[in-house]
Amino acid sequence: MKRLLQNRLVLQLALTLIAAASLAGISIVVITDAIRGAESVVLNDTSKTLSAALRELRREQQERTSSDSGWPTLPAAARDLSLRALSYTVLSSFPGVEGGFYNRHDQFLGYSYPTHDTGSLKTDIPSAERPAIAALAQRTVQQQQPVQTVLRGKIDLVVLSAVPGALPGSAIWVMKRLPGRAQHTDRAFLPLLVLIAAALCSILGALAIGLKLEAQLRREARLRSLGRLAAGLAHEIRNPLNSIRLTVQLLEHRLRSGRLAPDDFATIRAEVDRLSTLLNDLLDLQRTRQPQPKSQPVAPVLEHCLALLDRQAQLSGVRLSLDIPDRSISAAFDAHQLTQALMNLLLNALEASPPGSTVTLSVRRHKSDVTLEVEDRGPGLNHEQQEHLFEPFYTTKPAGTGLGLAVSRELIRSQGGDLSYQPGSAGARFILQLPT
Amino acid sequence: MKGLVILLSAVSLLFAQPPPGPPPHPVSLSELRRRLEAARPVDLSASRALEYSRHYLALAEQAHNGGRLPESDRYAAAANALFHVADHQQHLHNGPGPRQPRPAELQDHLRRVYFRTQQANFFVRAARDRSAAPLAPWAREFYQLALRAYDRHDYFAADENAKCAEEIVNALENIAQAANLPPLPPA
Repeated sequence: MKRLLQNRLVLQLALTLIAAASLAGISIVVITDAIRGAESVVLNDTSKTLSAALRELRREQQERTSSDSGWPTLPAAARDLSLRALSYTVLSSFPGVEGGFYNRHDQFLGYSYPTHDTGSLKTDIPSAERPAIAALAQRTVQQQQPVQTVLRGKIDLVVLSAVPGALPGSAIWVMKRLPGRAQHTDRAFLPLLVLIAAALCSILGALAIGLKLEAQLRREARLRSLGRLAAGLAHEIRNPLNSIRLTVQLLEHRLRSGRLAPDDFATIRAEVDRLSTLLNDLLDLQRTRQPQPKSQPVAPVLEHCLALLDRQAQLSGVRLSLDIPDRSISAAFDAHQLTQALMNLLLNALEASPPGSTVTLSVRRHKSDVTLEVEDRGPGLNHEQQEHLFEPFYTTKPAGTGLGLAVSRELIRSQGGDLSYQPGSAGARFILQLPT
Repeated sequence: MKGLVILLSAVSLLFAQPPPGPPPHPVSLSELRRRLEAARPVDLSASRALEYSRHYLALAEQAHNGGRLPESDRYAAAANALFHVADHQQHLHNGPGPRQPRPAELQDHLRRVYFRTQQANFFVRAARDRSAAPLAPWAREFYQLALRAYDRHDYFAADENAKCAEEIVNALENIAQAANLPPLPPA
């Protein structure tokens, strides 16, 4: 009897251990998967950020070095300073990214980390990663193609990227540190087999890490967007203020010499108007009027917009064309706000179009919505432009405020629709969806 | 025998040295001085540019006389860039020539100048020279003038003002470079 009980106890213990082992095994798979999944999302996003930074650095290096015939003869310290200014300016738009230039002769040049936490000018390349950076840069120079590597430390994870530089035998490198990386679960596999509770805790931990990484991603995107917005706003306000100050100085001078004319005030008035327009656009963005959508045909609004732009189109030598299969197509929208958004899109299309080309506004009815497409035959938008297109203050036009598209999208979204971009057959194509 | 070879090598090296005095200067200081003396500013901006140019030429000459040639080169380049600002003011005064810049080229130029004006504060900080500080806002003022001219389709004025902004940032860059050169090894 005692033996039977003993056997039964052993069997129960064995079954419990097997169940525990299975559960731990499943936990490991789940944990590993969750961590790897979250990690790969962060790595992918970081990789894209680094590629964009490298593209800008290369373009600016190309322009800086090709515009200066004396560049190769400059002392290394002078080249270092110029490249540092360049990387400082470019990397200011990439929070957490540091980098610089490399060549066989001088090794490291032009390093900067403008968004470094301390706010002071950081000029020393991180010593722990220096050998890895040098190896990566040498490989890039040899292979003449982009190279990326991930360094896994005990505490953090460092993503390093490099591309061939604009000058022969040179490379450009950037890196980003991802703090609080997930621990290697492979090493923890055996202890976890024994401790089911620890495995369960790890699942929760992994989920927390995943959520933390996701929150970090969102926070970084928000910070970056906020940084661009602040920089854009500061620049837009500073320029007119500088101009006003300059003009006031000139007026003082003319007042003293008795040569003051009424036209002299036009500049100040124009700059004040420009500031006022900027503020109105900003307010539009933040406080869009409550839309009053109602079901109505789209054709009259589209025709009204085209009529408003007819004169400008003639002056630019561009044809405006409306493609609407059925004039009775209706959607639910606020006519005033749709006109504002469409005018923005059509004006952009006109500006981008070469003379002799056509800007087409077409209407399509679908099951649950109506789409309006504005397509031009201009140069279209590159990948980077598409990425930032709807961000406030992002503009490719020297005189633009970069608010037009951001405001347009807000106007359409507030009515339950959406505004997006797709490359057109030749140029750019904006798609405006309206609910029916 | 070995000692004799070393002695002969040393003697030959001594005779192989270049003649005494600094080697020719990339931007001729005397030529720049002559141009500055002959220059007649057309307006306040040109006068200010020439005044700055004279200041940095004096620093270039001082560095040259002290045998600090790389530093002298950088200051001379800064003086030259500032002299060009006065040149562009002269162009603006004379009015457009037969060839007007094309809007597409100008847009690209303005984009580049904008990037350069973004670097101006970095150069001011690196230059550690209080007299250079007003150059950064001055460059941005010219950029602003260029934008306004572009807005009213005056592409000639936009181009010339953009060039002024660019030259001022070039000057700042050279001033910052001069301040960051390593000290010369002891003679």
